[in-house]
Amino acid sequence: MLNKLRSLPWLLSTLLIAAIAASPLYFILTEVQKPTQEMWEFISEEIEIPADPADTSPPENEPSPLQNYISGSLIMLAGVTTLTLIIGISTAWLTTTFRFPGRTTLTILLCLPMAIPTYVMAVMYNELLEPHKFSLFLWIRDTYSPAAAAQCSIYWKFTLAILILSLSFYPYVFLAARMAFKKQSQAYIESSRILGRSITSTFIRISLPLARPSIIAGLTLALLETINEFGAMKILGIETLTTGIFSAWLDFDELNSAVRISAIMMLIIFTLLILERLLRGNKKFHTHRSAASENPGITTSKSNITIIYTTTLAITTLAFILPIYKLIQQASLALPDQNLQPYLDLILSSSWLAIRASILIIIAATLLAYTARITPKWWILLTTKISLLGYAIPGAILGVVLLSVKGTLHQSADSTAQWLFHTTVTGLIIAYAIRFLTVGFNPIEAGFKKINHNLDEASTSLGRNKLTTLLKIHLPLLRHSFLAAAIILFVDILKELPLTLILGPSNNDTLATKTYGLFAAEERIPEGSIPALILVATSLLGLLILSTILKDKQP
Amino acid sequence: MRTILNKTAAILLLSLTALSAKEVTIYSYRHYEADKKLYKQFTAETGIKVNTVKAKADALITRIKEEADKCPADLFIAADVGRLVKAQEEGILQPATSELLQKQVPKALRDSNNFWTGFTVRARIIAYAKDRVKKGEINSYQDLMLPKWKGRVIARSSSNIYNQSLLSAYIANHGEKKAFLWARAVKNNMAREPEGSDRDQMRAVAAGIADACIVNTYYVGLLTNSKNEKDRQVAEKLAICFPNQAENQTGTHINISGGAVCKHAPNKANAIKLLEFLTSSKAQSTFSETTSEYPLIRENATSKLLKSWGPFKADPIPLDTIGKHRKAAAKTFLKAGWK
Repeated sequence: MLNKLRSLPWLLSTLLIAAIAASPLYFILTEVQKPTQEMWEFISEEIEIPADPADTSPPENEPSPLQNYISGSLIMLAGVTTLTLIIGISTAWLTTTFRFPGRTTLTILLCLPMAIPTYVMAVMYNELLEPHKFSLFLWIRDTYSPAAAAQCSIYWKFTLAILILSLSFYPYVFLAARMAFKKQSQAYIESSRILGRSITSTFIRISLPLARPSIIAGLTLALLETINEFGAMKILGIETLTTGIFSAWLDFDELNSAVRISAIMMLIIFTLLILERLLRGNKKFHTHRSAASENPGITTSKSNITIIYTTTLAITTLAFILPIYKLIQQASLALPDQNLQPYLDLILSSSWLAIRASILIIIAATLLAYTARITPKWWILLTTKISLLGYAIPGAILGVVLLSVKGTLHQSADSTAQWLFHTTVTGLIIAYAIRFLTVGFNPIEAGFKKINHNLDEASTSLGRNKLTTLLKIHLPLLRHSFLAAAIILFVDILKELPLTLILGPSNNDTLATKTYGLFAAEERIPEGSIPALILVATSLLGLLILSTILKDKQP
Repeated sequence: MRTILNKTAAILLLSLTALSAKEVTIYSYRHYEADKKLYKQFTAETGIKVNTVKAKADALITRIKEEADKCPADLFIAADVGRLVKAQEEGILQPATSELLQKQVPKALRDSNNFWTGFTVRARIIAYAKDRVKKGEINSYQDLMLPKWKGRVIARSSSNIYNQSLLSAYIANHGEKKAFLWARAVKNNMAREPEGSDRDQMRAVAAGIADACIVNTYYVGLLTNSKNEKDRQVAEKLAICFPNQAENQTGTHINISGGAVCKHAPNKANAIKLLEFLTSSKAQSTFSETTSEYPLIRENATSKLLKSWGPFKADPIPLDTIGKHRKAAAKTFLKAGWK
């Protein structure tokens, strides 16, 4: 009983966070229960092409737009899953298992693509590859047929989209897998090696299964980003559920149909998450020794090192160096007549916004993860999972949903609403928190999982309460997780667009909105490349500062 | 002592309210840097501070609706008449005009009930490859339906508002059935599925992927004046045609960027002042140079490029009619399989 009472503040904090984070879900559920609108019925039916004398093509039934959206999304998900897993896990394994000169530098290089917003990457790859795309198209058209060329351009855009998204999102898997491999108990690895397994076999039989929860967490983020990607899909001309949501909302003025499509999307995501949880069952993945013993890596032959360098540098070149090269080249075209002074303020305000939001998210995520640890009841786990669903809602839909929350506030407590949304950016920060809670939660939860429960019990038996245990035992052990969370959060929020545009107060320009304005609205690539480049540089600076802190703190 | 304090407080309060009235808040879909310069000029001339919130037009409409009577927006600015009409239908605007506005804005380019006012004009035209298409081979939007253009046409996605407005106008002029046949035939003539922006269509035509594309006039301007040499080379290879100029034809489809005073505007007078400023000859003279858009009176365009195109006949259909058919247009595109 006493124990239960002690957990009460933790339970309450979790419920409070869940209540705030789930407010958009409530809105979505009520919308879905309303009768369907015209567009919903229209897009879910197959298209019948009426007989028409002027139309020479034979009458045919085409798949419904909804089927197109779903298949587009599934192709993207399948492709990105495969590629991010291959790239993320292999690079993480190579850079943790082996010890070689330049390992830290390579590790940092592999994280850098995170600093480039996906739509910027898409624009730059378009610039880079367009001539080749054109020559391929013309060659196929002239050697085979125009129809084959048209078909080829469809394959091209899907391949390119999968490549771009995977290059953008593999760092999620890389970071998660790397942390897992690094923290793996050496006892397991050494036993396996002594028992005669090769390094590769040890990796497949021991390291990989042990790293599974972390890798899945990283992959989940990559997939959620993929399914919600709008900018790059638009640029490359691919129809997915997310572009369908926008079409329903913008072209048909049917917010209800848009919400309905996002509900389908969330259902897919929720099913995937639950499925993974069921498959994982009750297995525990913490190490049996103190987590402090880190994998130091083994030395290896010169030829192996060459292979490692070639793979990682090839990936870095594709994911970072090439797009940055193009970005710099474009920016230099517009640089001569630009006044860079205003950008300084923009860097400071954008970073400060991202820092504040990151701190709020890390605190909320720690509360959630710790409550789930000390009270591992099914309903707590469910509440936690529900609070994390903000990431599954497309940014713009979340923005619109929060607008209606804001509208309600204006009517009931106007001064609070004014403060939240008009005089300060507090409302925007809370919106970021709802959207990015998962991003902060995953590494922190994974970090908690790696801490042996015996430590908690020892602390309790020594008479420490839950708060002291958290502060004195867990927080120091979790610092790697916090930094991993902080890195991803800072960079993600810096790049965030839809919420910033929809909910921001007056005159709230950020580097991302500035880039967007020039790229998307004005289509002035050279001019837009300047804020884009500054955005990337700011993210990089954040990454570097955090990774320096990380290195200093290492024992 | 106390009275002095009271007086200072009162004066402070008064000057604060006076200050707060010296501003105007815009919710704008236009992200142009050139607009920012114009706003600065407006502030310098009138002392009225300009606050901006920039987002997609539909998000702004939802935001104004949700903020209701607490909405700080005075002016809603959209880059397309469809969104202005949508805002009007949603009931978030109020009629507002002035003698100056009536004088400065041609009747066809503002709402008959004064809900919105245009301040720049663009035309949706056909750009084609100079070396593969003879001058005069394409004369109308309908020409793109002909079998001879099979595999030679490209256009951007149908979810794009400029295509939707074009098809809305088509529906208003010729009816839904004919609009469907047009969209279907053009879709069947496409060299590839729609992808990318207007600019990308022109680059593809210059590269030989297709021979003709549908684009907005100012995108041609953007390419011609681009900082990127490759873009300028693309522009070199293209010629443009203002479609449907013959006597029995409708004229080229045009659209506007425009502003509208919000229903609960706290600074209505300032909003009107800003609209007057944007439609004044001084501001109008800048658009053709900065954003390659036409001014309200097209003959007054100063940019070399726009002048070189000469005058053209615009589709005289009232702009609000276009706005009213926008949903039918989106549906027609979807039916026609134009992605």
